[in-house]
Amino acid sequence: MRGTAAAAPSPLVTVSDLKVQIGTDDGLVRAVDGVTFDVPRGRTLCIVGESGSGKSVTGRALMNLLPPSGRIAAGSILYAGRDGQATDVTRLDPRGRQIRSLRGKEISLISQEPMAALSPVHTIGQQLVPVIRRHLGLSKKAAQARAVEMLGRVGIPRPAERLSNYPFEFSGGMRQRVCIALALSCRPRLLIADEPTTALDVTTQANIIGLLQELQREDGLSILFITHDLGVVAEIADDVAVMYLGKIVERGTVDEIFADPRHPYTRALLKSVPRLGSGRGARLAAIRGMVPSPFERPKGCDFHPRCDAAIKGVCDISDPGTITIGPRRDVRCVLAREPAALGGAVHG
Amino acid sequence: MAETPALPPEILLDVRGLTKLFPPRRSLFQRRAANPVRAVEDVSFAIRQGETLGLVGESGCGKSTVTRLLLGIHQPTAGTMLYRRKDGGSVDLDTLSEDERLAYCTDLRIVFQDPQSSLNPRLQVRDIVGEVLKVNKLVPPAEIEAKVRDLLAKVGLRPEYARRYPHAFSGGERQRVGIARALATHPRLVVLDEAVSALDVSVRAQTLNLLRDLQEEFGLTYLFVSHDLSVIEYICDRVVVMYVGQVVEIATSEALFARPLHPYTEALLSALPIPDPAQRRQNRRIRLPGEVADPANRPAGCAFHPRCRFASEACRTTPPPLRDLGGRSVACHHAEALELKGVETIQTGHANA
Repeated sequence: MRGTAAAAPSPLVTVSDLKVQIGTDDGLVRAVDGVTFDVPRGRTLCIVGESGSGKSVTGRALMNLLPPSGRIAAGSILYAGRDGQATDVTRLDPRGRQIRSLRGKEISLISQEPMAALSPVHTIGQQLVPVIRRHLGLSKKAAQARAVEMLGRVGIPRPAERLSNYPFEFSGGMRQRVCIALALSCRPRLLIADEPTTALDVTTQANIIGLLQELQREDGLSILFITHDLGVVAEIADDVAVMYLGKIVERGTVDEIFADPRHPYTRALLKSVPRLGSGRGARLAAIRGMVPSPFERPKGCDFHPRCDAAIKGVCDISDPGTITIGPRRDVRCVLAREPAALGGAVHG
Repeated sequence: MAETPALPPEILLDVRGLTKLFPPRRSLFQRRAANPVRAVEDVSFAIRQGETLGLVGESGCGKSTVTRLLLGIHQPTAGTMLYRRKDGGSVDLDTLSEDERLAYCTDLRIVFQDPQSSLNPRLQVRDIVGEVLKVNKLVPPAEIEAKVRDLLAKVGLRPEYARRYPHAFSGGERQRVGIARALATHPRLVVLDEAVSALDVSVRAQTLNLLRDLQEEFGLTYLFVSHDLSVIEYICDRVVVMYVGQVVEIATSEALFARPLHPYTEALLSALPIPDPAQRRQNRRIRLPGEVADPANRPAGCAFHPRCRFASEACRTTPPPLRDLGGRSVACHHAEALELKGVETIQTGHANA
């Protein structure tokens, strides 16, 4: 369901100027460097970026679930609770009771590798039932019924029998379905899906994406979908945030991002994927160079050394900052105000 | 060496009836022995000189086993792999003498999927790339470093990087080192086993462009193994589609994407997400029920029949042979009768096609 930006329902989560630092052997990395976005109720926001863009860390920060060496350095993540009260997730103790009652119950996560997300030595039932009992306060019997219902909903055949199976007895696609059942078993309002289909085959990927869309329609779930695959973005997103080196360089609805990309990085990304149906075409328009190391951030705009539209004396000197060009439409580029300066259209 | 049948001059490698069964894994608690895993069964295709042949399929389809059989990592259970020697004669890879095997190993090279694990972290790039030259005494030891620097320049890396270790490179650069290593012996055939799958979008485009340039410059033949159809379409001349150990369709890239003849190929094309939100509304996606079959328990008849919307009684009982159909091959009983959708139709729908 896609509407115009103005018709967006009130946000479930509002992230303002979030900064996350992660300590490594080589020093402190600014993994997320001041991002601002929101996830509207019942819609899907896709965060798209290459490796090292900070997209996964952003997703984990929403659950205050960072690696031990990581910390939220600044900013706020306001989660609108069922009672209308907003909770700032960044202020909660990452190991405290409050955040634990949010995780799994209100906000849940599915990740890229379902095998790593499930315990190999417990049956599916042993992993599903206690979570449901803990969060929904059901009896063991009722929790089991709920587990069977969830497995059925995500398309696992003979769900009652499969409750006593171990994860290794499921195929990759079925395991991801189990993870989705686990994530949605306590009726969360926000699902963080971190590259959930990257490790799956294309036909399985199509089925999982279809399943997520179906569950969203039925439950009014909000989804934060993290991916590097622009095809998947076009398929599932209502809104899109493009990340590069820990910053959101462009934000808008999916139609705006694909039909009228304003940041040179977004344009270049869209041009660098081979399009099905274009045949054994001309050379791909590759982006030159590579994503710089977080320790060698360029001065000025992070993207300028790879940017074809970079202006000497401007882009290499000062950071453009975020320019708002419409409702919930931001671009981090000095050229955003003058589209003509960026050259021809993407498909032209 | 036994005389082998002659190969048509344009064929570099001819695979016939290639079969690899892996013995069943018998677990401690299992009384009954399981079935053997039919990783590859009766696979036939030919690679022509100078072309890029795509090998596409989902996990478990046997595409990796095929490349391993070509490389001699596994021994085939049955079938022949005829290879054209540099002198024009042909030889079955299974009956190579020791000397011939060494020569073959410098003539067929591979680039692996993961540039992280396929380069030895303890060796400098000049040793990684130069090792094969040293072992096979292809270049005098004193000239190896110069040769390596030359190769690095060819793949777009700075020659002075020869003294660096793999950890000092990014993923895309490491894959370039892997490509330089593959090209060091002037091979005729390079197997690219998911060679761009682990790379970021922007780096993937650079690498695909590089592979095309190198093919032109050195007259290389590629066997491009991938699960990514948009990349396959971009780089391949012809495509072999596999499903659970068998070839289901072979066609030129153009013909395959314009009009697939096998329902599985059609489903693969339709499953691929298209990077254009405007097409989401029109997309008539074919959802395949169930999962890819287990190669140890392949369904009777056509292996695809439990997921196929056109399956008939014949499909449940008789395995369809791979047969010729107007210059292409397909393994489906109903190929002539079906009107399957190509990329164009999937994307725009029938009404406004």
